[in-house]
Amino acid sequence: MKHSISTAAAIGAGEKSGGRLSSSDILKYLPLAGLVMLVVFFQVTSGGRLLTAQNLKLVFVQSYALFLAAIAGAFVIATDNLDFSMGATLGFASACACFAAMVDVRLALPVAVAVGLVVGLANGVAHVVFRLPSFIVCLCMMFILTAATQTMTKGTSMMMPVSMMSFDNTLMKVAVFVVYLAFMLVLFEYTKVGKHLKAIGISPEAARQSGVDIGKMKIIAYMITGAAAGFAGFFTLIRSGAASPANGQTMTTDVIIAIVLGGMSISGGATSKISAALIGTLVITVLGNGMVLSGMGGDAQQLIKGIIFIAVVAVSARGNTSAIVK
Amino acid sequence: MLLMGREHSPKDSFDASERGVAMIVQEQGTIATISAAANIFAGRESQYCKLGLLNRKKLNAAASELLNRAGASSITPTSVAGSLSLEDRKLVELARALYKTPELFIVDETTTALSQRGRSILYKIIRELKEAGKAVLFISHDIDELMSLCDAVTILRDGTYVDTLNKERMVPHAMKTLMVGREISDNYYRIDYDPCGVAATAMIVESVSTGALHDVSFTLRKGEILGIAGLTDCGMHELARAMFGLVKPDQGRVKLGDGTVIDSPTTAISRKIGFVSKNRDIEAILASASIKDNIVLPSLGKLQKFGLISHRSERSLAEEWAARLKIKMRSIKQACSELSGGNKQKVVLAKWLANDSRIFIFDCPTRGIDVGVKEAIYRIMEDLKRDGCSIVMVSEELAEVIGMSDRILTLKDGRISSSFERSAEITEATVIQYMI
Repeated sequence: MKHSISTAAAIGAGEKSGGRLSSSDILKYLPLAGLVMLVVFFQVTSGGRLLTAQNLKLVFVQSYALFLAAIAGAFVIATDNLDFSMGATLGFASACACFAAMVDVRLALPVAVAVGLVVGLANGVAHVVFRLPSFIVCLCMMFILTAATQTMTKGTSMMMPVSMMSFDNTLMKVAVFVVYLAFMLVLFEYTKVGKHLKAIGISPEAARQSGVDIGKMKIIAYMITGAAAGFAGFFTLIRSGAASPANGQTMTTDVIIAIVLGGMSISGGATSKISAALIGTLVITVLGNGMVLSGMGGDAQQLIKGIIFIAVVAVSARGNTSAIVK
Repeated sequence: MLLMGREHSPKDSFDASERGVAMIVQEQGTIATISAAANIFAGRESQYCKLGLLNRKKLNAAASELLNRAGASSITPTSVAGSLSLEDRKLVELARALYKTPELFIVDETTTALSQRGRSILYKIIRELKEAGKAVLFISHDIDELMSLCDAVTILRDGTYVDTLNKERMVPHAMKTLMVGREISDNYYRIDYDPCGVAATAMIVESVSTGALHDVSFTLRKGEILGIAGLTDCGMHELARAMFGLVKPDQGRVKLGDGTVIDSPTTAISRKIGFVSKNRDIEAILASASIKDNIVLPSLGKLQKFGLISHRSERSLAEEWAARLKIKMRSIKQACSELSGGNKQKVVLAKWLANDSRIFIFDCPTRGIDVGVKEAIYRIMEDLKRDGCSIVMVSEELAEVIGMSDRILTLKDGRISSSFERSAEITEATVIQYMI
């Protein structure tokens, strides 16, 4: 049934303004511009070795798990929360998948994803139902899962069945990635889930008063990051050939850094978009790969990453006083 | 500002108190996590320090003396403020204010937070200060209190000075009339006096008690504009929130004509109820989101097909309602935070209209809004009424409640104190006597 609002008092129609480039527009394209500059810079310093088919393939394979995880990470960060357990979930899921594969190799993938889903559900329930701060919940989950992984792998590497080697196929990975990206993009941009998560990140109270079921949506967000970490865990396993406590160690911070480098606010909300995860992951990967190719050594990588990260947060925060850790 | 003949421009409230102006307020003014004594001497600890170390014994002894003077000897200076009752915390503030006998003591609506015991302590102190030749500025809307305590009263309305009455001219009726003002001459309210013809029930509030509310019951009819009037703290804002499922009543319930119980905003919205919060910028709009995202948010369920929402359907719904309400904007992609108060409120209305709401709960819908948009909102209310929608309008502006409502309920101390059917005879003075 439509309302017949007809007599709303006449207020002069809004004046249209021209298409000036505002500072928010500049910020919007800054990450992409930064990526292009980075590529050009390392293409030169590496003597043209960055943009070769062989190197690009290597970059893709190396950063595959981070791509998967960062895309999912955008869902939790959109709500102005962080999932600090993603890396540990990845490691734990890959260890579980390795065990499952010893029974039947076909079990590896479903087990990895299921483990991730359960971890995400536990994070979400602890945060929403038991009202614990999400940061504490995820941090504790990280410790628990790291310990579990260490116990399962007895602190060293646990080899996966040799027959699983055949899964590590670049063409298959590309196909999986395209499907995964399309699925997540639709979920984020064209469904209630994505739109509600963004609304929560902007203002939880206003979202609640507009019909967003905050608790349910937050749990869903953690299940998405959990499942994606499990998914990424499976691919980490088949690439490295072994489950080890080292799997996924830097993933947690890399996901956050990638998303912020990609132009999304660390406090989520209106700037949230999947492309931020993609661009940011590329920036991190090109940075690491470019430095190695240019002979700058891996040691300085963390240093440079830290400096760039803090610079980007400083630029994008712009008077935003919201606390990062909740 | 002049204080005792000298320029008075305090940097902050602490500076003011050092200059002899002390104040206690309606809201909590103590720090919950530190002791009563520490609260009293916050910012003034240095006199009890030796070599940078605090002599707690001396501090507590001094605090104990001040609490005695404030008539609150039952409070232990070492107890943590947060563990005290709200009234005792107010008395701690009082002790703090009295530390340096103030030249001017400002009491801002504090008595609403106090029981009879606390009030008599405060009244006693006010009288003592007066006898000592100090001034007291007592801010209140309680006529009885003003009558018994004050020597003169200055009346403000909507931020402007109205009149100052000395003791002889202080008559309760005259004061009320001055507080409320005469009939507003603007005729942008409803001009008809037709009674609400429909008898069908839209919503039932069934003996709801929560916070300030005590056993409130009434029925909202279809096609009715129900005005709710009262003082800010009479519970009317809580009532509005309870009707939208934002507050779960301790007792009683809110249900629709068909019996559906409204227990959450999600249920309320799915049953076509819309809510306009008093706190617009924080609760009613997503400030950094676009006008489009704000308008379509409650309607996403309606827009989805096979679980997917097309950007085109979002755009056309938002365009339609932005145009119908004549929202002043560059485009629907503009951030809501850039709009004026009135246009933000139009976005809030648009979001409920776009969701085909049938019941509207307005909590101070015209607060901080220019006259033009105000009028637009009144016209929308008339249109909605004509369509058979129901409106609950909680408002602190009596003129609009009287001007727009089919029926007015007044709330006093959380209870319904009277009910008026629409008529040309109702004046603000008749309504206000049931509120105060």
